[in-house]
Parts: sequence; C-alpha cells; structure tokens
Amino acid sequence: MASPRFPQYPFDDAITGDQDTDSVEQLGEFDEILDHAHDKGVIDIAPVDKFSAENAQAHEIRNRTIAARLWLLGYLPAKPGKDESAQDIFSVRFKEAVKQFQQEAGLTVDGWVGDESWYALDSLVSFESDIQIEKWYQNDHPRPALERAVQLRLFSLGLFPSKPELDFSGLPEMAVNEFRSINTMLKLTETHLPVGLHRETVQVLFDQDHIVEKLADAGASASAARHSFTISRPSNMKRKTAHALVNRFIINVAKIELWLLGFNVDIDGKDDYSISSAALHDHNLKLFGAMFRYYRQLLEIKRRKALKLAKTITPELFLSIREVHRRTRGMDDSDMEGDYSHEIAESSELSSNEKIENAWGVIRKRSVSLWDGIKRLWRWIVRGIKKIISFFKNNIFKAFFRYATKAFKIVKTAIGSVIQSINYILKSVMKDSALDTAIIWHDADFDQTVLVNREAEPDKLAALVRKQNIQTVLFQLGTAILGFIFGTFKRIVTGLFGWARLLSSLVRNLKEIKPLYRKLKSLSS
Amino acid sequence: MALKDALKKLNDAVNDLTSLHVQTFTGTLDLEVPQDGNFDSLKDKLKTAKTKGTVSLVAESLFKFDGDSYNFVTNQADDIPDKAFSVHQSAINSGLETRRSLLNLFKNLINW
Repeated sequence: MASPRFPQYPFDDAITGDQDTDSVEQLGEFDEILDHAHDKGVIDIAPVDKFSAENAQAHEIRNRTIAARLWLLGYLPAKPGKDESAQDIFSVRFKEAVKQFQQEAGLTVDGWVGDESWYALDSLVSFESDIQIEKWYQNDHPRPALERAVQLRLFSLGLFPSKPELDFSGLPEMAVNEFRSINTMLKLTETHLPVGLHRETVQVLFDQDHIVEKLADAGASASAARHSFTISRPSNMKRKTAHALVNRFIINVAKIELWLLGFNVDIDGKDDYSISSAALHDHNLKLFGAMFRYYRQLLEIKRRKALKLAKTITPELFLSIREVHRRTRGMDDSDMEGDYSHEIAESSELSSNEKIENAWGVIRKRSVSLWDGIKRLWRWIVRGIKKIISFFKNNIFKAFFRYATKAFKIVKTAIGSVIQSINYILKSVMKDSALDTAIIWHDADFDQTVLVNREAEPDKLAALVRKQNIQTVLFQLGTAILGFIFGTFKRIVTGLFGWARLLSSLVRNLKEIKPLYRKLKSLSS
Repeated sequence: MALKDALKKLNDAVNDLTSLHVQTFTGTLDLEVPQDGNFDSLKDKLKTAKTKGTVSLVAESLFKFDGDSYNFVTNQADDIPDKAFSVHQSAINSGLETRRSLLNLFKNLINW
C-alpha cells in the first residue's frame, strides 16, 4: 500500500526572487508555510486552545497517540486503526473519553488535550516518564485514572490478567500483591512494600529504570557466570509458585525494554519464554528474533554466543542495558538528546523526497511507540552506540519527527520574538519610558533621541538600560534563528522540495539554533 | 500581526540604514504625563526646551556606513546623572546591533 502523501502546498512559486524587497516577501511566505505545515498536520505541536484543538488534521499524529493511550487505559473500546482518518479519530466518542479521563485525573474537564492533559496521560502510560506520584492522590486515595494505569502496568508486567476496559470499576487492593511479592523476592526495595495502592508501591511499580537496575543486581549476585537470578523466596511461598511468578515478571520486563529500543516485540504480559537454564517451552519467536539481534547486531556479540544468549532471558540482558543507563545517569533529557540532528538529516533513509514522505507516512500511523523509548535512544547514542539510530528505520523516523517538531517550535518562537521587536521598533517611544527616569524616542532607522531626567534614580535608569539591551538581543537571536532555517531552506539543492525540504531544513539546523533558543528563552522569562 | 505584515511595515518605515544618529539630553522638564500615553508630543517640547536651555546635550554620536563617525560628550559631567552615559551607550548599541541583525538576515537571503 502506498504511503499517504503529504498534503499539497504551492511551494515552488512562493519562494523566488533575490532582491531585498522580495526577501521581505519571501520571509513572510516562509512564516505562512510553517503555519500551513502545522494546519495540515505535517508538523504536529500541542494545541494552544480548544479552538485550535478542533483542527483534526493538524493534530492527527498527537490525537492518534492520545486515542491509543485512552484505549490502553480503558476509556475507549479500541485503539485507532492504521487506516482511520484524522476526522475518524477525533470523534465525539474520543472527546467524551478525554473528558472522562480528565475527570478521573482531577484535571480541568474541557474535552481537549493541551499540555496538562497530554503530560498527565504520558506519565500514566509511558515507561520512561516520571509518574509524579503526588498528583495522583487525593486525600490519600488514588485517583481513578491512576488505578487504571496501575492495572495497565501490572498487565504489562505479567501480573494482572488484562488491561483496563470500558467496564473498569476500580482496582482491588490485592491486585498489587503479586508485585509486592516480586519486590520482596527480587529486592526491588530494601523493605516490604505497603499493602494496597500505596504511593510507595506505585512509585516502584512505575520506575522501569529502577526495576532493570535491580534485575541486573539479581543477576550479578547470582554467580560470576551470570546465568541465573537470585531471589529471596518467602518461606510461605512454594518454590514452584515463586519461580513461576518471577519468571513471568522477568520475561515481560525484557519485552518492555526491547520494545522501547525499537524491536518488534509485543507487550502482552504472557509467560512465553525461558529464563536462564529452564526448559524451553512455547518459544516466542518474535522475542527470540529480537534478543538475537540485540546481542548480535547491537552488542556485536559473536553469532554462536548470541544464539545461545537469545534462547533464554539471562541477567546478561539487564546487565548490558544497565551499563548503558549508568553512563548517562545524572544527565537530563535535553543534554542527552544531544546534537545528532545532522546525523539524522544526513541519514540515507531520509535522502530523497520519496524517503522523507515515506517516513512521514510511517510516523502518521504510529502512536504510543512514537513517544516512548526516546530516552533509551539517546542513552545508547551518548554511550557511543550510534548504530541504534540506523538499526531500525523507525528509530530514524522517530528521531526525525522529534527533531523537526522541536525545530519548528524554536523557529515559531523566534518569529514571535522578531515580530515583537519590530512592533517595538515601529513604536516611536520605547516602552517603560517615564518622565521620572528617561524617555527614548527612536525612528525606524534606529536613530534615537534620549532624554534623561536629571533627578532620575540610578536603579531605574539601569533597569531601563537592561530592558533595552534585552530587546536588542531578542531581535538578534530571533533574526539569527530565522536566518539559519530560511537560509538552509533556500540552499538545499539535493532534490528535496515541498514539505520534505521544509522538514529537512528544520532538522539540519537544530544543532545550531538550540543554543540561540536557550538564550532567547532565558531573556524572555 | 503576522511576520509578513510586520516585515512589510518595517520595510516601509525604514528610510536610511546608512547612518545611525543618537542624541542624549538631560534636564528637568516641566511637563505633564500625556493622558493618552503619547510621548511623541513631548518631543516637540524637547525642541523648545533645548532652545531655552532647560535641557542640555550629554552626548551625541553619529555613525556612517562608510566607517566615519562623530562623537560628542559634554564636559559638564557634574550636572549629569549617573548612568546617563550608559543610557547613551545602550542606545548606540541597540541601534547598531538591531540594524546589523536586520542587514544580516537579508544578506543571508540574497546570498544563497
């Protein structure tokens, strides 16, 4: 099936000419192109109000993810199909589901997903987000949305039979008992976890990094050969029961980690693999393939050993993952995202219009996986394993989409800054001029007449100077960012045109414009 | 206002980027704050005040595109409030850097 094509825009006629006057027109056109990119859903950023949220096409990518997450939490009966249109997804049922989620999450119930609702959903569903536990309790009781998320997480880890559905009516306190047993046996925490949906229990449940860390510990302590996991079985639990429970848990933690890295595995809570040297049964071929590729191609282990390692889930898996995580401990996300925009933009998977269109087509149809696993991606890149990017086309596309979205936001902010500065320039008197301090008149040629009150307080004069300097720098930064992006947009001659050209020029310049943007934001605040 | 409109207005307003002229005065003006916040009307009163001597020139700078420049600074420093010179310098800096930013932006566009 052919990938969905980009929506049309009359690009080729818009940006032409090489005279100063035409340059003004061209820049103005470029801003319109950016707005059009957003309206048509080529770039999807969060809506700023209910009105803009109603543009289903502009927000197709995000709405698809929102719908998938609402389905995972049991607010919708099914996840969005790959062939569902933007309007189909953004249905009355979708909006009602959003309202129900907002109500159960203690958010403003307005039926549209701005930043607050988006990040709330993200914290409940994503394996990499901080749960921000305090937001989810009211008078020491977990909010209903959290209960759904707990059931979903337990299901993902093989500790509950199903994910929440439409008929969800609350999670019994005993639902977390198996996880509490896991906690004790694998020593996820130093002490036993409290009964019920206690904050402490939920915090540990949602800390995927911590779970991996402790599984690695359980493997490292078992033996030098690292073939098995150490568990501390409670005396009132039979050995067979304990092992079955721990095995199921470990298998599903492994599936989650491999899924986050971009491997094609299903997070299904099933007990369908072997742990350590246990007898083989019902092999999950997808998981086997993923494990083999992980060892062979990502870690570059020799084929024979990779095959052997892939047959069972051993501590080696978690130890290798932990090693990567530990190298980036303490770094924040924006540090880790790093400056790999050039590598992404130069990737052979994005070297032509058709390929970028194809990438966009893939991105449009993804949902949850588009927004999860990004931290792991950056960790492996920072670790030096840049091949994680080229390992899977989807990882390239994911990174491309994230970079393009970030660059788009930066450029729009820069444009806002430039417009603000122009308004200041066009007003003949500087804002904050006052008779008791100083008045600054300026014309559009930037010639200035300044009148300083002889009785002016030095502090007030200093404040006025600061404000003027800030205004100047804001304009500098805004025009610099705009110049970078627009210059590249015009200079790209590699056969890219239309939206592909726009996206590529955004991604290519992200490394350069990020530091300018940080300065701009710090001055604007 | 969209970028296109903002740039067009600026383009229409800008006459001469080949020189930058900054004058800084100090004085005590017997003025009222304009009810409509329109300080432009005060600029006319400034001309009268200069003539009457109730305001005095602190510094004046003129920069030309060909590199020539002219700077005047008063020798009556005792009468000048602290920071007045920094306000003058800030105004110069603002003028020069803002023009440079604009010129760089359009230079990038026509040089591709």
